[in-house]
Amino acid sequence: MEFQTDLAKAKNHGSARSGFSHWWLQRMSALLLLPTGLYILWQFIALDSLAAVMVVNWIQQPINAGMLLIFVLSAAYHGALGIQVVLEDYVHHSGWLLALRSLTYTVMIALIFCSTYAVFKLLLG
Amino acid sequence: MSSSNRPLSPHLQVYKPQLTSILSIFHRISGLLLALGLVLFVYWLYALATDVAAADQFRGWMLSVPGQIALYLWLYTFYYHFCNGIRHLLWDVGQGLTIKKVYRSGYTVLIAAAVLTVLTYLLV
Repeated sequence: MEFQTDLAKAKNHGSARSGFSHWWLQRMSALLLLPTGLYILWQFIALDSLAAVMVVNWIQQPINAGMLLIFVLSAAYHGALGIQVVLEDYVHHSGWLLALRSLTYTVMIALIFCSTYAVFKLLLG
Repeated sequence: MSSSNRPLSPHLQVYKPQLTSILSIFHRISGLLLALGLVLFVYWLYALATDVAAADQFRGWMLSVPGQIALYLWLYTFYYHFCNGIRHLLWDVGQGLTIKKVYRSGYTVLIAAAVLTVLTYLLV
């Protein structure tokens, strides 16, 4: 993703390469997390209990499944972007940095897979 | 240029902790705790779809006394990261950047997160 104007490029302003897209997507995922996070919390508080039967029933409403999925996917992505920043700030050994960053994104993909599978399995039976 | 032994900024050994720096590092720490919580949340979600008994067992752990303490502390980090995240987004659009406003919003965020946590406890 690139948001540099042609003039800024010609003037050679800054070295914004992939860094801008990281910064931007962190904020866009945050914007998705605010309403969906609040919705899920409010809904969970309103449920009589979080017993499996109740929650499964709740997820089978398409609007809830959609909100839940947007929340978990954005949270996984937002979390991975954030952990990447922390790692890049505090891990100065490039080998460890590469390993931990790869581990972070591997876990993120696993979370995305498991939550998508779970929500669609409950929704479609 | 060899950089392995060069000092790194900020120099924490001579850096006086302030509300701003404490809230900044707490935003990171709470983010990491939320990421750990997300892993447990997805485990629970996966269990709901594949093994209902495991999901209810997980709920049982969360309803135990240590589970409840952990859950509400975690909820505080959720509300903190939520409110402080809004504070960061407002800074990103250029709002509230004077020292006075930064301190005021900092205290607001700490108190709002505590109030929301207590409110949740009372509503459940």
